[in-house]
Amino acid sequence: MKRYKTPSIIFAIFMLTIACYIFMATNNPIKAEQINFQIDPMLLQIEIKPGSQFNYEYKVSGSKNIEYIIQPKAFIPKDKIGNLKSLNETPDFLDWIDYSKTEIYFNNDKEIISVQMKINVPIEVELKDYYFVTSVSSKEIENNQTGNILSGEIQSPVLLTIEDISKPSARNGKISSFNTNFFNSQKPINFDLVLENTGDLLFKSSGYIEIQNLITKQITKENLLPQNVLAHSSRQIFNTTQTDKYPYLTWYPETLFGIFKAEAKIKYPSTSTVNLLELNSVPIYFIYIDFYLLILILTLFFFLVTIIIFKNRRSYSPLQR
Amino acid sequence: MQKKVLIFILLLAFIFIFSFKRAKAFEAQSENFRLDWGNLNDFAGQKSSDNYSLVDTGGQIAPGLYESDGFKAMIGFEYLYSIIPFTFTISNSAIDFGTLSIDTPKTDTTNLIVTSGAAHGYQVTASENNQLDNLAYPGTYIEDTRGDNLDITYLNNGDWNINTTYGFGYTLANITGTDAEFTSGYKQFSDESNSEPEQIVMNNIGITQGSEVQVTYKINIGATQESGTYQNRIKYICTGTF
Repeated sequence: MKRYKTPSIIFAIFMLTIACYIFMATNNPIKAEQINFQIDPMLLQIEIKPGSQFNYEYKVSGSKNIEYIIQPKAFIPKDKIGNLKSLNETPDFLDWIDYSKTEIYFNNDKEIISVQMKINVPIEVELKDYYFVTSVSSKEIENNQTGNILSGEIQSPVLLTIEDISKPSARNGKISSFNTNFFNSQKPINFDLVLENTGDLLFKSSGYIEIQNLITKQITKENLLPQNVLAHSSRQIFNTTQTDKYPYLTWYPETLFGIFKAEAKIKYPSTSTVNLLELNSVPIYFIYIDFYLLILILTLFFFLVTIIIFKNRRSYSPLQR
Repeated sequence: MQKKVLIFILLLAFIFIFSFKRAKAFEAQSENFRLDWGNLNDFAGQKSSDNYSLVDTGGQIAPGLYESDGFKAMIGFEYLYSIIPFTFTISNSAIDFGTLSIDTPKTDTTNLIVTSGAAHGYQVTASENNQLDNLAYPGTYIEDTRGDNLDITYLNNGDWNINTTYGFGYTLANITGTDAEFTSGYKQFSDESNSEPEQIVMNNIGITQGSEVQVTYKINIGATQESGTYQNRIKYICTGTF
């Protein structure tokens, strides 16, 4: 009897192991499912004439076992620093946009899938800007646990300008703010420059700020980044990118002291002979004294005052009297 | 005596000048990522129109700029050539708090990771479809927390340390970088069903590689909470700047 017991125990252990393996394999916690997104390019700007078609191939990547949806969503500028807010509404112009795939599955995590975007612009269309994002969103994975079902989305902006590109229209805008501190002792000097687009077509902040030292008459120019100023929105303009947390429009004075005049000059487009927009700010004036020079002046002043006080005390001391 | 005083003042002034740390502003522009416009007269075979196909007859007149009779297209930022891809990772697709006990808070986490080559950065927003809802009795909620001082909303972060403060909320911590919108106290997720606009949880106004923020979810229930399975949906949206 005992001879037949050992194989049955081994068989039971084997079956138990198989059962455990199946349980573990089919009962993976959903938490482990990572959701990845990648889209290229990050930004697409198109100027197109009515009745034309434009094709572009996006490169999209994601996680396997997750279903993704690709679709256009209209957006509006959200703030002055280039962030946007996609809208839940679906304006008619989104009907012009088609993607070769609307649902995407990835066979492995590093797979890159090409998705063709086609924009068919009707002949009869209002000549203005239309803004949308190409949105890649993950479908939620259902479960019945107490907690949260997470999903995500990555959005790449598309700036669509519809006009006769051989005869582009004039842009409308203004410099709504240009200023700096009147007294500066720190390098660099920060300027605040905000452009407002009051028209229906975007323009770029191509141009410079011109700074003149009123003592030496020396003029320097600080080029601006040609940032997109979207229709009916404002944009803060910078001359640097890739700063830690906040970019600036900055200028490094080369002298220790100076009285300066600064003007912002915008010309769009910068390279063309056609001038669609030209903006000049009201001049602003400011003083710069280098920090160390300022400290030296203050120290000398402090010594002078101290010496005068000591001299005065000595002259009034009872011993001398 | 007066000489000694003068020497002392001079010494003080000397220490003052040289120990004074100058405030430094950032000049973090990197030449690795900046590229002036050139005229390469080259192409990449991705762009076409019905009037014109760039692959056959046209070209790239500058990095990222393509032109034909019918359109002009610019890919990326003309003043910044970046090879950094735009990626976004959510570390998990669900949060399972398991069985909840009265007056015993539970937490769980999600890590958000972003790499962005956009000239002016990115932002990640978050929102919930509604408060944690009872699957068997819809409309019975574990409400979003108000915090220990009743000051927590989807806009304001506040303290939540007491075990008799109930509800659901989240806080943020920087793992890599400093992109978390706040790092102290807790907030409610903005509630779409209540028309609350999605809120920024993570952002940067520059190029970033592998910025990582940890979202910690916290839940706590009281004795009056209806038993059952409660669930909601949280959505994170990562957007590049224009």
